Amino acid sequence: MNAKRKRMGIAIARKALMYLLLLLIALLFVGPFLWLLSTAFKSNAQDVFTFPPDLIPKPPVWDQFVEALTVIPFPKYLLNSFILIVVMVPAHLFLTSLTAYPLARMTFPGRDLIFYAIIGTMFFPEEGKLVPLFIITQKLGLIDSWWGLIIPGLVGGFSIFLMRQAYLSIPKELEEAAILDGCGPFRMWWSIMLPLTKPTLAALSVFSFISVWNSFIWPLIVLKNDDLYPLALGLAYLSGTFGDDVRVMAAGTVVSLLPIIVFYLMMQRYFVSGMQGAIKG
Amino acid sequence: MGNEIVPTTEYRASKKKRRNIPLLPYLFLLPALLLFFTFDYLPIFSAFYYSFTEYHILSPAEWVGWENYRALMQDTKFWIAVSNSLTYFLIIVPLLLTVPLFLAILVNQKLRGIQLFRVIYYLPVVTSMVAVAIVWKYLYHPAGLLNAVLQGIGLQKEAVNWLLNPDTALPAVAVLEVWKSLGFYMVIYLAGLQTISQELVEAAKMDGAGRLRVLWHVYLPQLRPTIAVILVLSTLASVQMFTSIYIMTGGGPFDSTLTLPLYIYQKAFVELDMGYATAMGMVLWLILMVLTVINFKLSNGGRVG
Repeated sequence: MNAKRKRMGIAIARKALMYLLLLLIALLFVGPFLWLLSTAFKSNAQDVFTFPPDLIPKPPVWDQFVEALTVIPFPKYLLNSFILIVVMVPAHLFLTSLTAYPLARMTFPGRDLIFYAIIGTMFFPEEGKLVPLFIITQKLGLIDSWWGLIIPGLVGGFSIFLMRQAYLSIPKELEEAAILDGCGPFRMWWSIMLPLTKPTLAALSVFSFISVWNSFIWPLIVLKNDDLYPLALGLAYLSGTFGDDVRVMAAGTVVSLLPIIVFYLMMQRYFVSGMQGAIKG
Repeated sequence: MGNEIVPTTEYRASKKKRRNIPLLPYLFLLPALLLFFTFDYLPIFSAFYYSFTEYHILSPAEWVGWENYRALMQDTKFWIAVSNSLTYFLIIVPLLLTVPLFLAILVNQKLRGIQLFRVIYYLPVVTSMVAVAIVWKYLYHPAGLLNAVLQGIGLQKEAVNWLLNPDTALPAVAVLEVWKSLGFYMVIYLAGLQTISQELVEAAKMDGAGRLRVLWHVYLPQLRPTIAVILVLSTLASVQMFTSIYIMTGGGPFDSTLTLPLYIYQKAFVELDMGYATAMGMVLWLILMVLTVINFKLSNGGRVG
């Protein structure tokens, strides 16, 4: 009896230690965000740089949020990012699923070559081709406009690869039955195959959302007019001019992080499934 | 069987005229192929051309042969950028190969609420680098949280200006970069861990293998493909670092954090020296190719073994 109880005690202690370890590591990941949040709410009277870190704003104030949203053009940047997402995410999904379909479910000359040519683009990292891409975008007259952000970002090798995997897993019988019923190719794609790839579409839209929301280098190069800046670029621009005002910058950063964190928490199950789909393939 | 392409559909229309090449698939592919051609292959191929020219956007490109490459070899700033990029690589890649594995094993346990920890550890991955770099800039501030903590627990007597000291700036930026992507590689390891056969683990334990030996002899060999993926992805990421440096140090102090992508950006978009910048882009590709081949050899092509 005693030995059993002792063993149970050890098991509980081990579990408690495990949770302690997990919590400590979690603190390393959320710590910077907590500091940011507390700084954003602190008044000017309270020192933001102290030890031990004083995380509770006394009293919490809204002033810097008001300032971040009125003095600084944050709402404009937020709106720009939302518009870009509303345009780019659906367009990206549409083109990706359209392109991956024949690569997975039809035979035709050159199919494998085209597939490898598309996948091959992933091996030329963005930053190596940044300059020639800029030159071409400029020659097409797309510089300093949203078209220059949107059009080059519409397709990507990785998404097409993932989408092709999704089509490949659909049983062939389904297709045969639909053909017997007289289903044409575009309807087959749009109303039969596409609905069956919903989990992958969800994962892709999540990835696409994040990448548009966070995109920085390309907008930095393409856009000159700061009225067109998406959020990340606007934030970087502000940190150059308002960098000394920690509280206002913190408030602005909180505003920029909030939508993406809420979106992430809502959609988090698709992140893991999407990532795993990518790795299995 | 696993990866074979599912037998494909033949439509009646194409059955009738079987000899003709079907048009339909190309119709599906056309928009994407146009985009890939214009914004991927055209830049890739024209990069070769522009790297041999002098081009300042306003006047037409002028062929100069190997001049850009010759100038590169004598550009000390270029060599500093290359050596910094390799230093980032050497700091970041080993950390991203090991720490996320430890995290993945930790959150792969059957514990109540473990999903919450996975979500938290992944959080920095979804946030924008611009935002977290701004936050970390304040954490590294001489009066910032890091100095306060280090002084508070007595590890450090005086405040260090982490980002303005040429000795500490590069590691400081590298730490942020690692912190931000730990969760990403943890999820990749998690997916890898879930493919490991539990029978093998049990068998090893029955034979009296301790934790470390199970990790070394059972987990690691089966994680080979995962490790290969992580090696390639983290190498790409470490050599391409840009945003964190742009925000935190701008490449300084004294070029101590400058990377090749940042130098390319400065040459092309601040000095408008497009030809020279493109030549550097070619070198960046070359470096990545060499590193990828080495990685591939090291990880045995990702075969389980």
